[in-house]
Amino acid sequence: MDQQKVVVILLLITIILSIFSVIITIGGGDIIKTRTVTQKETLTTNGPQAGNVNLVIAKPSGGAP
Amino acid sequence: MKLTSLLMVVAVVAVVISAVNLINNIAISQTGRASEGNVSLEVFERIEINFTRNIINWSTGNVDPAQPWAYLSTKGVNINNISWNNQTRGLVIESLSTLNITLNLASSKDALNFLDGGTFQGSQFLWEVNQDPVTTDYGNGDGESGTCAAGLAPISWASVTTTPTTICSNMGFAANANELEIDIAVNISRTAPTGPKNVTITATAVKI
Repeated sequence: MDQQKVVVILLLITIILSIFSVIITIGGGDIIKTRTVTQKETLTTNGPQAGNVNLVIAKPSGGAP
Repeated sequence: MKLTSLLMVVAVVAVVISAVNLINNIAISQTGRASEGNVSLEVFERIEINFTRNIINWSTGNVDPAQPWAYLSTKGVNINNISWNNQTRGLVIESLSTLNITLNLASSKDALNFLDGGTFQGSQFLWEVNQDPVTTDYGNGDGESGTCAAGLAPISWASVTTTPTTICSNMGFAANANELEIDIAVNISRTAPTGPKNVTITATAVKI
């Protein structure tokens, strides 16, 4: 085989290997990222609530009012 | 050395370096890197109150005509009562919160406007609060002991007010210690105007 062709093939292999290396490095990037802790406080106030008091005052059925 | 041979050597070296770098990256991605682990979370707080008994209805009756007044209470006490229903249980309010609260009550009307129709007749509208789990005095104990750690009031009959009144300044939320009973009493003047009488008692909770 012509030496120049061999050189070209080797360079192509180098390029391919480099591309894979870059992909793996980017894909694994999350592993070294530092995430920020999120702490939220949500206050839900339910109310007001109500109770009822009912009665009826009737007229006396007999006797003085 | 010919230029072609030199390029050949350079290419071989480049391939070797790239291969080693690739293998190294694969190994790192499989075993992990030294990194910081972080926990993301949200903490929710909830304030929720609920009347588990929200109505007291004495129905229809009148003051014994031979007496100046009639007294009714949710402790089952009835004096000079002609045909109003007996009531042995008060309003019951529970906290379903996730933290201790201050509980306030306010009435839509006081005695003057609830019973006397706006013109003073001497009627009284009273409340008191307890956390008794068993029947005490008269009536049922619908509260849960330990519910109110501080500031339980009023613990004896007091006039109902339209301005908010703190009935417990530190109300808990434990499943077996989160209920208070609000007993109600009325002292109805014989001269109070007849007709239906309705009042709403509103509870509000505030985070301590």
